[in-house]
Amino acid sequence: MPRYEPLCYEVGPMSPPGPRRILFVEDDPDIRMVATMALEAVGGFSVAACGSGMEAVSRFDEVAPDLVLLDVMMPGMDGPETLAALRRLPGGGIPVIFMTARVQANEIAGYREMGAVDVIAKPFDPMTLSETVREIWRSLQPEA
Amino acid sequence: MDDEELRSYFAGRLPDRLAEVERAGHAARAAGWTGEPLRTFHRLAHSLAGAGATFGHPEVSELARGLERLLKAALATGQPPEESAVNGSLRGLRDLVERG
Repeated sequence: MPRYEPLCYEVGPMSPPGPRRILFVEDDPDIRMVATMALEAVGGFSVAACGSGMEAVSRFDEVAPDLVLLDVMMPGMDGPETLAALRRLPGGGIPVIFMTARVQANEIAGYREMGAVDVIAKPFDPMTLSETVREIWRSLQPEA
Repeated sequence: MDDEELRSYFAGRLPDRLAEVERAGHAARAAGWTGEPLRTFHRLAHSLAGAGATFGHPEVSELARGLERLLKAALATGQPPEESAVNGSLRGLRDLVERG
Protein backbone atom coordinates (compact mmCIF):
# COMPACT_ATOMS: atom_id res chain seq x y z
CA MET A 1 0.00 0.00 0.00
CA PRO A 2 1.23 3.55 -0.65
CA ARG A 3 2.49 5.44 2.35
CA TYR A 4 0.76 8.71 3.10
CA GLU A 5 -0.34 10.84 5.99
CA PRO A 6 -3.94 9.89 6.72
CA LEU A 7 -4.68 13.14 8.54
CA CYS A 8 -4.01 15.08 5.36
CA TYR A 9 -7.26 14.02 3.88
CA GLU A 10 -9.22 13.40 7.02
CA VAL A 11 -9.14 17.11 7.79
CA GLY A 12 -9.50 18.56 4.32
CA PRO A 13 -10.55 17.89 0.74
CA MET A 14 -7.00 17.70 -0.61
CA SER A 15 -5.64 14.34 -1.54
CA PRO A 16 -2.02 13.51 -0.75
CA PRO A 17 0.16 15.52 -3.12
CA GLY A 18 2.10 12.65 -4.57
CA PRO A 19 4.79 10.12 -3.88
CA ARG A 20 7.82 11.60 -2.15
CA ARG A 21 10.42 9.13 -3.29
CA ILE A 22 10.43 7.37 -6.64
CA LEU A 23 12.57 4.43 -7.71
CA PHE A 24 13.03 4.85 -11.45
CA VAL A 25 14.35 1.87 -13.40
CA GLU A 26 15.46 2.43 -16.99
CA ASP A 27 18.38 0.96 -18.92
CA ASP A 28 18.66 3.73 -21.52
CA PRO A 29 21.08 6.31 -20.03
CA ASP A 30 19.66 9.25 -21.97
CA ILE A 31 16.06 8.47 -21.05
CA ARG A 32 17.16 7.89 -17.48
CA MET A 33 18.84 11.29 -17.39
CA VAL A 34 15.98 13.29 -18.86
CA ALA A 35 13.24 11.56 -16.88
CA THR A 36 15.15 11.89 -13.62
CA MET A 37 15.76 15.56 -14.30
CA ALA A 38 12.10 16.11 -15.17
CA LEU A 39 10.78 14.24 -12.14
CA GLU A 40 13.10 16.15 -9.81
CA ALA A 41 13.03 19.63 -11.34
CA VAL A 42 9.44 19.74 -12.59
CA GLY A 43 7.76 17.37 -10.19
CA GLY A 44 9.78 18.01 -7.07
CA PHE A 45 10.13 14.30 -6.41
CA SER A 46 13.13 12.63 -4.90
CA VAL A 47 14.32 10.12 -7.50
CA ALA A 48 16.66 7.17 -7.21
CA ALA A 49 17.54 6.10 -10.75
CA CYS A 50 18.68 2.57 -11.50
CA GLY A 51 20.03 1.23 -14.77
CA SER A 52 18.81 -2.34 -14.36
CA GLY A 53 16.24 -4.48 -12.62
CA MET A 54 19.00 -6.11 -10.61
CA GLU A 55 20.18 -2.75 -9.32
CA ALA A 56 16.60 -1.78 -8.44
CA VAL A 57 16.13 -4.93 -6.40
CA SER A 58 19.44 -4.47 -4.60
CA ARG A 59 18.76 -0.80 -3.77
CA PHE A 60 15.07 -1.13 -2.91
CA ASP A 61 15.53 -1.31 0.84
CA GLU A 62 18.03 1.55 0.94
CA VAL A 63 15.84 3.82 -1.23
CA ALA A 64 12.53 2.91 0.48
CA PRO A 65 10.46 4.33 -2.37
CA ASP A 66 6.76 5.21 -2.34
CA LEU A 67 6.42 4.34 -6.01
CA VAL A 68 8.37 2.51 -8.72
CA LEU A 69 8.55 3.60 -12.36
CA LEU A 70 9.72 0.58 -14.33
CA ASP A 71 10.82 0.23 -17.93
CA VAL A 72 9.49 -2.95 -19.54
CA MET A 73 12.21 -3.88 -22.03
CA MET A 74 15.58 -4.14 -20.34
CA PRO A 75 18.50 -6.55 -20.69
CA GLY A 76 18.90 -9.10 -17.94
CA MET A 77 15.86 -8.76 -15.71
CA ASP A 78 13.13 -7.13 -17.75
CA GLY A 79 10.32 -5.07 -16.25
CA PRO A 80 7.94 -7.92 -15.44
CA GLU A 81 10.75 -9.98 -13.91
CA THR A 82 11.83 -6.99 -11.84
CA LEU A 83 8.28 -6.42 -10.67
CA ALA A 84 8.01 -10.03 -9.57
CA ALA A 85 11.32 -9.76 -7.69
CA LEU A 86 10.28 -6.52 -5.99
CA ARG A 87 7.02 -8.09 -4.87
CA ARG A 88 8.97 -10.72 -2.97
CA LEU A 89 10.81 -8.08 -0.91
CA PRO A 90 9.58 -6.72 2.42
CA GLY A 91 7.61 -3.57 1.56
CA GLY A 92 7.60 -4.57 -2.10
CA GLY A 93 3.85 -4.19 -2.46
CA ILE A 94 4.07 -0.48 -3.30
CA PRO A 95 2.59 0.82 -6.57
CA VAL A 96 4.56 0.04 -9.70
CA ILE A 97 3.96 1.85 -13.00
CA PHE A 98 5.33 0.38 -16.20
CA MET A 99 6.77 2.67 -18.86
CA THR A 100 6.65 1.24 -22.36
CA ALA A 101 5.97 1.92 -26.02
CA ARG A 102 3.76 -1.16 -26.13
CA VAL A 103 0.44 0.19 -25.02
CA GLN A 104 -2.21 -1.67 -26.99
CA ALA A 105 -5.26 -2.53 -24.89
CA ASN A 106 -4.34 -6.19 -24.54
CA GLU A 107 -0.77 -5.29 -23.59
CA ILE A 108 -1.97 -2.87 -20.90
CA ALA A 109 -4.35 -5.52 -19.58
CA GLY A 110 -1.39 -7.91 -19.37
CA TYR A 111 0.69 -5.42 -17.39
CA ARG A 112 -2.17 -4.92 -14.95
CA GLU A 113 -2.50 -8.66 -14.52
CA MET A 114 1.17 -8.73 -13.60
CA GLY A 115 0.41 -6.25 -10.81
CA ALA A 116 1.26 -2.88 -12.30
CA VAL A 117 -1.15 -0.16 -11.22
CA ASP A 118 -0.88 1.69 -14.52
CA VAL A 119 1.19 2.25 -17.64
CA ILE A 120 2.87 5.41 -18.93
CA ALA A 121 3.32 5.39 -22.69
CA LYS A 122 6.65 6.03 -24.31
CA PRO A 123 7.68 8.35 -25.75
CA PHE A 124 6.71 10.57 -22.86
CA ASP A 125 6.81 14.34 -22.65
CA PRO A 126 9.39 15.26 -19.97
CA MET A 127 7.43 18.38 -19.10
CA THR A 128 4.23 16.48 -18.31
CA LEU A 129 5.68 13.25 -16.92
CA SER A 130 5.45 14.40 -13.31
CA GLU A 131 1.82 15.40 -13.62
CA THR A 132 1.02 12.04 -15.18
CA VAL A 133 2.67 10.32 -12.21
CA ARG A 134 0.72 12.53 -9.82
CA GLU A 135 -2.57 11.76 -11.58
CA ILE A 136 -1.95 8.04 -11.31
CA TRP A 137 -0.98 8.44 -7.67
CA ARG A 138 -4.18 10.38 -6.95
CA SER A 139 -6.22 7.69 -8.66
CA LEU A 140 -4.81 5.18 -6.16
CA GLN A 141 -5.79 7.11 -3.07
CA PRO A 142 -9.01 6.28 -1.24
CA GLU A 143 -11.83 8.79 -1.55
CA ALA A 144 -11.81 11.40 1.22
CA MET B 1 15.88 21.71 -20.38
CA ASP B 2 13.56 23.08 -23.04
CA ASP B 3 12.70 21.29 -26.27
CA GLU B 4 15.62 22.75 -28.19
CA GLU B 5 18.07 21.81 -25.47
CA LEU B 6 16.70 18.28 -25.47
CA ARG B 7 17.06 18.08 -29.24
CA SER B 8 20.58 19.43 -29.10
CA TYR B 9 21.62 17.12 -26.27
CA PHE B 10 20.47 14.06 -28.17
CA ALA B 11 22.06 15.24 -31.43
CA GLY B 12 25.34 15.20 -29.52
CA ARG B 13 24.68 11.70 -28.23
CA LEU B 14 23.55 10.28 -31.55
CA PRO B 15 26.97 9.39 -33.05
CA ASP B 16 27.85 7.20 -30.06
CA ARG B 17 24.41 5.67 -29.90
CA LEU B 18 24.37 4.83 -33.58
CA ALA B 19 27.87 3.36 -33.34
CA GLU B 20 26.58 1.08 -30.58
CA VAL B 21 23.66 -0.02 -32.75
CA GLU B 22 25.99 -0.64 -35.70
CA ARG B 23 28.32 -2.75 -33.55
CA ALA B 24 25.33 -4.76 -32.35
CA GLY B 25 24.29 -5.22 -35.97
CA HIS B 26 27.70 -6.59 -36.91
CA ALA B 27 27.57 -8.97 -33.94
CA ALA B 28 24.06 -10.15 -34.82
CA ARG B 29 25.07 -10.79 -38.42
CA ALA B 30 28.19 -12.66 -37.29
CA ALA B 31 26.00 -14.81 -35.03
CA GLY B 32 23.77 -15.76 -37.95
CA TRP B 33 20.91 -13.56 -36.76
CA THR B 34 20.26 -15.70 -33.72
CA GLY B 35 20.48 -15.70 -29.96
CA GLU B 36 21.59 -12.96 -27.62
CA PRO B 37 23.34 -10.84 -30.30
CA LEU B 38 20.07 -10.56 -32.24
CA ARG B 39 18.14 -9.75 -29.05
CA THR B 40 20.67 -7.05 -28.17
CA PHE B 41 20.47 -5.53 -31.67
CA HIS B 42 16.67 -5.48 -31.40
CA ARG B 43 16.73 -3.93 -27.93
CA LEU B 44 19.15 -1.19 -28.98
CA ALA B 45 17.03 -0.37 -32.05
CA HIS B 46 13.99 -0.22 -29.76
CA SER B 47 15.79 2.09 -27.34
CA LEU B 48 17.00 4.37 -30.11
CA ALA B 49 13.47 4.63 -31.49
CA GLY B 50 12.11 5.57 -28.09
CA ALA B 51 14.87 8.02 -27.28
CA GLY B 52 14.62 9.67 -30.69
CA ALA B 53 10.94 10.34 -30.11
CA THR B 54 11.46 11.55 -26.53
CA PHE B 55 14.22 13.96 -27.53
CA GLY B 56 12.44 15.48 -30.51
CA HIS B 57 14.13 13.56 -33.32
CA PRO B 58 11.21 11.89 -35.10
CA GLU B 59 13.27 11.06 -38.18
CA VAL B 60 15.69 9.04 -36.04
CA SER B 61 12.79 7.39 -34.28
CA GLU B 62 11.08 6.42 -37.52
CA LEU B 63 14.17 4.79 -39.03
CA ALA B 64 15.02 3.01 -35.77
CA ARG B 65 11.43 1.82 -35.40
CA GLY B 66 11.57 0.33 -38.89
CA LEU B 67 14.77 -1.49 -37.95
CA GLU B 68 13.20 -2.67 -34.70
CA ARG B 69 10.26 -4.14 -36.61
CA LEU B 70 12.57 -6.08 -38.94
CA LEU B 71 14.44 -7.51 -35.98
CA LYS B 72 11.33 -8.27 -34.01
CA ALA B 73 10.05 -10.30 -36.95
CA ALA B 74 13.37 -12.14 -37.13
CA LEU B 75 13.13 -12.96 -33.43
CA ALA B 76 9.55 -14.14 -33.79
CA THR B 77 10.04 -16.27 -36.89
CA GLY B 78 13.61 -17.45 -36.47
CA GLN B 79 14.22 -16.29 -40.03
CA PRO B 80 17.03 -13.82 -40.78
CA PRO B 81 15.88 -10.31 -41.58
CA GLU B 82 16.24 -8.99 -45.09
CA GLU B 83 19.77 -7.64 -44.92
CA SER B 84 19.21 -4.98 -47.55
CA ALA B 85 16.41 -3.55 -45.41
CA VAL B 86 18.56 -3.68 -42.27
CA ASN B 87 21.40 -1.99 -44.11
CA GLY B 88 19.02 0.60 -45.52
CA SER B 89 17.82 1.57 -42.06
CA LEU B 90 21.36 1.78 -40.72
CA ARG B 91 22.48 3.82 -43.72
CA GLY B 92 19.56 6.19 -43.23
CA LEU B 93 20.53 6.67 -39.60
CA ARG B 94 24.18 7.16 -40.54
CA ASP B 95 23.14 9.81 -43.09
CA LEU B 96 21.23 11.66 -40.38
CA VAL B 97 24.26 11.63 -38.11
CA GLU B 98 26.57 12.85 -40.85
CA ARG B 99 24.19 15.61 -41.88
CA GLY B 100 24.25 16.72 -38.25
